[in-house]
Amino acid sequence: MTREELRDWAILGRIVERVEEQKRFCGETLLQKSAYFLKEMFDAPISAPFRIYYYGPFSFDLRETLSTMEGLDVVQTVPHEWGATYRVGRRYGQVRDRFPKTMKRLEPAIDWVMRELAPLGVKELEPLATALFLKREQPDANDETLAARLHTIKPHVSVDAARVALQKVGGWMAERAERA
Amino acid sequence: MLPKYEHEIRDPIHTFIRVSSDERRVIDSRAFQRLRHIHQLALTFMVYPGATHRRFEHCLGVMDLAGRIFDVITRQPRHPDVLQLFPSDKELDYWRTVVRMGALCHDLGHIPFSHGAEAVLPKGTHHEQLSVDVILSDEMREIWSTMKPPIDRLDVAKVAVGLKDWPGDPKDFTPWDELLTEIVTGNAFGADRADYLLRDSHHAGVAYGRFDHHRLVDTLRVLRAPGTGKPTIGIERGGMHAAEGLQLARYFMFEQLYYHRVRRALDLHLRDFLRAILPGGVYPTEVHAHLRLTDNEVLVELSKAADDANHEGHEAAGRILNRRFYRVLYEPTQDDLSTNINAVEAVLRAAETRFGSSAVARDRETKPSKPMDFAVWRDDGQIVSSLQESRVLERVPAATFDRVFIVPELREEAERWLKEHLRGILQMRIEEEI
Repeated sequence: MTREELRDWAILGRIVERVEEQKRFCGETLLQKSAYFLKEMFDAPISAPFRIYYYGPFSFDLRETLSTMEGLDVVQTVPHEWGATYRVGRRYGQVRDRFPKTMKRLEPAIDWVMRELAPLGVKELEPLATALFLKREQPDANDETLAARLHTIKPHVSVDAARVALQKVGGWMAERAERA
Repeated sequence: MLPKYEHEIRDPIHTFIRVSSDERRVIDSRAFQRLRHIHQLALTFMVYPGATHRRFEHCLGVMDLAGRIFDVITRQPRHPDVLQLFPSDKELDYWRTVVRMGALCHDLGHIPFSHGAEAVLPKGTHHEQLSVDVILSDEMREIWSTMKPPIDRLDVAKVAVGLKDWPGDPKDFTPWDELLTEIVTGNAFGADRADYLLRDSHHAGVAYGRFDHHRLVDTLRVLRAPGTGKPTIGIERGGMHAAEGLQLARYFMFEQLYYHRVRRALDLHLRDFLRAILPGGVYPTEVHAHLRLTDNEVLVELSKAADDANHEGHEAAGRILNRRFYRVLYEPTQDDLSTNINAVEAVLRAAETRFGSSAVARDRETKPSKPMDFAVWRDDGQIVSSLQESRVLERVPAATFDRVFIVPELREEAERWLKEHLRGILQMRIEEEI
């Protein structure tokens, strides 16, 4: 495995570990959207490319990464009524310990993910991640324009709900810029 | 004699595959007929002599199964949560043809020897992209536009390759499009997977690929996935054992056939050979150039190269045809991986240093094939995850491998060397932050 692959595993494994500590459901959607926020808002070195779909930003490469991690017991999945929930596997520690600097640098960002994203369900995560995608894609557009566009991409999200998502993400981005 | 509007093709898996006159025009096209000359399983016939079947019959089988799945999920009682997804009955006739044609054409982009040689495509290109290019080509356009009713070729292309491999904007896919593409390319119950397991099993003589596909297809339903609420193809509870059978078949077939060490070694030599003979070492992706190349041209060139010491592909051709292919030097044990998760990379680097990089190769599957989580419609009306409903699925391991190969001339020496040095090699911590 390359350094980039192993580092991806370390970061994803750490999200899984923290969600597991909180005793929450850790489905693929949470991992996808968390990785997307970490990459786009906190410059986390996650190599998987994301594309925007009907259900928001998603990376098929990340799905394959999770599958590889599971094959090597870096993470495991266990049955849950909503589908598979992830937890760390026997070899996660071996991966994490190779990247002490990255892990230390990203810990505050992962704290943020635990606070803001981990408690949310799929229906809340999708518009938020889509709002971040649109704000990154069109940084000069106002929220009204973006809300209309979000509703076009995801017709099941009303324009009002889109506005709320955009405001929330805007607040997070401003907070992040202030701290930086 | 009355003209026939429906035609039958005999098939060892599905007995009779029926096609309309319009559909037969697609089958008779140059692009589809080319698939008669593309082996379904690359050089697997050098390991399992019966595995000489071609993409042609596989694609007919996928079309037949996809049509049956479409009929079941649209005609059987629909779950109340997904009623609004379905178009009118009149529109369903159009979409049925789209699904069958997408299924029929899903492999038009396969290059000679199918997956075995795909690494010679330009970086970032895959055969699905080529399938889209062929479906949208001028050569096929006339067939689509003169079908009754005319078929939008973009609809066919979307169904053929699915969302993951769609080269255009993924936002083009509506939930209905995603459902249709799931019929063909879906990981859990896609017609492509069902047909290749049954067909490859039949031809290779490996019984593990069989499962009760009749029962499975009859119990497929459109449901909302538990957890995400996304419309998807799931099953009625009564089909659970058939679904478990499919997942087990998949695991066994990957372990026994698709990841067979000799087949994978042959793939490596085939890639080397194609790189040696193709202009610039890269497969041509222009539609007409692609359609001109089949396994036949490559096999003829292989034979010539094996006899000609000055041919650029001589070394690789000789290794394939004279059975001097790579042998496995190392596959990690679970203990090795617990000592060093990057054990294979460590052994590869040490072996390259010791024997030279041209004598050593690594082959791995980075996308383990693991059992799927799908929606199950229980008798009490609840929709739950299959992993919760089945005690079998969660226990089926992911099929995967990671190997270091060595040329046969150095095999014994390399095995002795590895036995002596493995413990030390596994202590090497590569790719680490310091």
